[in-house]
Amino acid sequence: MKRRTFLTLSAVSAAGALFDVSRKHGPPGSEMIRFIPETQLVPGIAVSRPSICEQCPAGCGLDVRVMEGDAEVQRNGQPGLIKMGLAKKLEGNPAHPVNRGKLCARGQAGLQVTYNPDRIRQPLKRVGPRGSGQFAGIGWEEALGELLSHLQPLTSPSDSSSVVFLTRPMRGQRPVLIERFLSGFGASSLVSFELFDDSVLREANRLSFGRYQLPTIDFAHSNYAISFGADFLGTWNSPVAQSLGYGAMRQGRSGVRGKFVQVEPRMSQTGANSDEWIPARPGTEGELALGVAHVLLNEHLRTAESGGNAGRLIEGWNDGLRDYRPEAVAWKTGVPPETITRLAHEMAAHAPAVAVVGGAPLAQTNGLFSALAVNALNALLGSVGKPGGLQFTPQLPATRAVAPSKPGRDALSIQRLAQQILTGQSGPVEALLVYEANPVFATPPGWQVRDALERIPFIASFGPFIDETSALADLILPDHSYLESWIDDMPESGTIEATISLAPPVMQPLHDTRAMPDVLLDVAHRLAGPAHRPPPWKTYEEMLRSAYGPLRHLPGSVTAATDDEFWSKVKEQGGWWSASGASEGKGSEAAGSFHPVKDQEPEFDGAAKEFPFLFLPFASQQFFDGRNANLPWMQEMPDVLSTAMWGTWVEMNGQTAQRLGIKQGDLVEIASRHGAVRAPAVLSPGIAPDVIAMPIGQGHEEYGRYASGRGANPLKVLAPRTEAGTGSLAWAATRVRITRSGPGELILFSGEPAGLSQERVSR
Amino acid sequence: MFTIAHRSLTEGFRDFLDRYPTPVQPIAFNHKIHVANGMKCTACHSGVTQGPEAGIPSVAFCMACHQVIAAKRPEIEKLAAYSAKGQDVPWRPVNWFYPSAHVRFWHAPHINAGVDCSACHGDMSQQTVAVRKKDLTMQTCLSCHREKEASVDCTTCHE
Repeated sequence: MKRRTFLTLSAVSAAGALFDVSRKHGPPGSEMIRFIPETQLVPGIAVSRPSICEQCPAGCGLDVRVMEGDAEVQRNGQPGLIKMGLAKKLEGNPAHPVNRGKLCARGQAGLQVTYNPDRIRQPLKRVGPRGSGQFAGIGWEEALGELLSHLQPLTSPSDSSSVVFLTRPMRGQRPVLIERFLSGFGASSLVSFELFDDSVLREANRLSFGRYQLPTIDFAHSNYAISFGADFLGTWNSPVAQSLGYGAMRQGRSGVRGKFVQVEPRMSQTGANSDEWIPARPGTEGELALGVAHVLLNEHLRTAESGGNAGRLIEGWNDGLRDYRPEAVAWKTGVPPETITRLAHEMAAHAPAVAVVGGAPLAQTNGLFSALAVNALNALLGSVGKPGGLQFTPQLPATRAVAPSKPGRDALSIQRLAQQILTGQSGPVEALLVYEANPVFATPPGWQVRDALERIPFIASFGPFIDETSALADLILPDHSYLESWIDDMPESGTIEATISLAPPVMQPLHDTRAMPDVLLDVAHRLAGPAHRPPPWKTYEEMLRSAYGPLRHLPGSVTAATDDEFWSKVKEQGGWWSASGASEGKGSEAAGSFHPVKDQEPEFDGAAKEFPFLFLPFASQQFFDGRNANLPWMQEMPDVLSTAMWGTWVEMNGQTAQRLGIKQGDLVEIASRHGAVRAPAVLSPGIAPDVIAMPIGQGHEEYGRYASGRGANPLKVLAPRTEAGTGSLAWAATRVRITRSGPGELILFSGEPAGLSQERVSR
Repeated sequence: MFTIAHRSLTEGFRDFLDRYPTPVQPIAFNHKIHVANGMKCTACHSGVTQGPEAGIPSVAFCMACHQVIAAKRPEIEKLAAYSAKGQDVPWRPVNWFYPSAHVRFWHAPHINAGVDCSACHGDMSQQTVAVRKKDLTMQTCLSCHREKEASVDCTTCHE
């Protein structure tokens, strides 16, 4: 702002204050309609209530501070004020076995989901053309009538046109309810989509260890950890639990400080914490793991038998991995042979040692190979199922029956769904229900998800916000925020206790919204018909109680004499957990017949000559996969390494930039065969010279006032490549070129990432 | 008085002169009748023994009696109208402090120490619509705190 503008504005506001015609006097907040209070709390006294964090798939337990306050709400289409118990602060639940009282920045910002000014306050019906974002508010009865009129004709068992439910991979009772709901239609499918769904690693763990599950790494008791691309302190898997363990590994034991080595081409927050950072060539992480394994076998530091099933999956394992001599591996990975040998010696000498794989290595076309290779290394190190090694969260026998179906395996993927719609294969999709998934934002343009969805005659969304996907909806039935809902989860990793997280709403809903599970139950009851048997529960609370009530008979964190006592204690504690399930360590899922895997080279889309750089989008600490971009606290949180905020940036090596004539803050264009995006450059020494990195999460076209039109979406340049073994998106397998396109604007918080001293760089 | 703690210059002046405008209540609530009929202060202001704020009950609480009692009186009809619309009565606070004072007043310790409500609020059995009877300045608070040998630390009352 210029000085003159500032002075003018000051004068105008001072004059306004002097005349003071519009304001009444007295304490604030008395001009709006007041609705009848909905809770009885002692004014001014805070109480603590448990809930569950939904900001990422980790499933941490929350401890919510609730206090009476005035909230701006909507009731029967009318805005007003209400005195009610309001969530004021989110902390970690101290009793919860995953996060043990801690919470990350994304979790803390979860309050802004509930109080977001862009939340949808009542059901909406589309009035303009599809995608125009023109909606009109309607009542719930009208909205449900509209939904029923589209779903009722599809309940006939002979109908081949189908209902598709699109959601993110979920655990707990919500997927059970959705599947049950879908079973009432003639044809239906559940499509789950999440950009970072880690299904490659789950599949690898199934093959290696018989567990279709993400691992829990026991850093706390480990003496040596090597991570292949996993940003486990920032975004990968269960970051809070892993950060706790990591802290204990480095500083929690007197006289012992575990060593930590990070292998990745772009230094992440986790990499910045490491003792040694090894920028191996992208896609060769598996190769490097097997190079280390070769040394361990060849020098008889470990025996081939100790690799077990995980070892047998690697071709040449019993012959001592002859193809993976350090010299050969060095040539492919760019890591010197002496480093490989040294790593092997260090790991052998500092047991228990553990290897972790996650993030970009799994998002290459050879991701499954890399994951299997790291699993084999872990098995060889003897760290599987041991303290200080790789463990699995026990899954309760009592709840296994209701555990979610395996997303990503045998299921219809969003990519195949889009293809089927566009090519007209199989039956037509008549209706699509969307819940907590935004594939229009998070898929490569080559999958044509938007085009496909636009062809579906009826789309209903349960989203609490209008995003790129729900903007295409004909009907929006807004969900409560998670603080306003009955919520349950079964953490897949992050603890070695069998865990059920469960919590009642911590506050009354602010607006005319309804919880998705309750709407599904309501609709299921109304869809009368021979094929559609009504569910035995009236509300989701009843369903949760019938599912989790039997846990009373298992030894766990809650002991109660009666069912009612059990239920009230579970609600008070925010779940149920049991260390006794931990003995059930062995996997039960048969790996089946699987041919040993050979060394697989990563494939990249685009010719190296035309597109000389490897493109590495990465999960951002603030926005994860983009779902948190509408939270202003996350927008204003500086990136840990570059300190960039309120935008996207392109991270590149300083020497590369110098060669191309690019300076810090210059606007650059990243182009692949499939699209181009522009963002300002951040020069960094912590990135390989042939890699260009961009954080994921910004560049929303439609996601409220804080996210819309801000930054760029790197996913829009991605090639539609998939991982060869599992079919999940290979988001790190695209080649790009980079050109300077003019002056840019970069907002940095502070610090000097590359010899920079200004706070705001304009060129 | 020119700080952003005030929403207008007038408010700043009022704060400076320790003036608190008398609010116009949506319903002319009669304290005198309620006290005369034997109701205790804590029947409605139930938060007073437990926390910082005395609290005002919701319209539903009032209607528990006024469904029947004095239902035809004009002021009670106003109350019933709020209730019928599903709205609460937008009562205006009477005893409050300007935010610039940074006063953090807790009712509970005072009541539990045996201070009578009337010490600050005046004799409510003689008031109809509540008004600010006592001059609640720092001087008032301090003289009582000294008299009763309560703490006179700044942070006891100010945050």
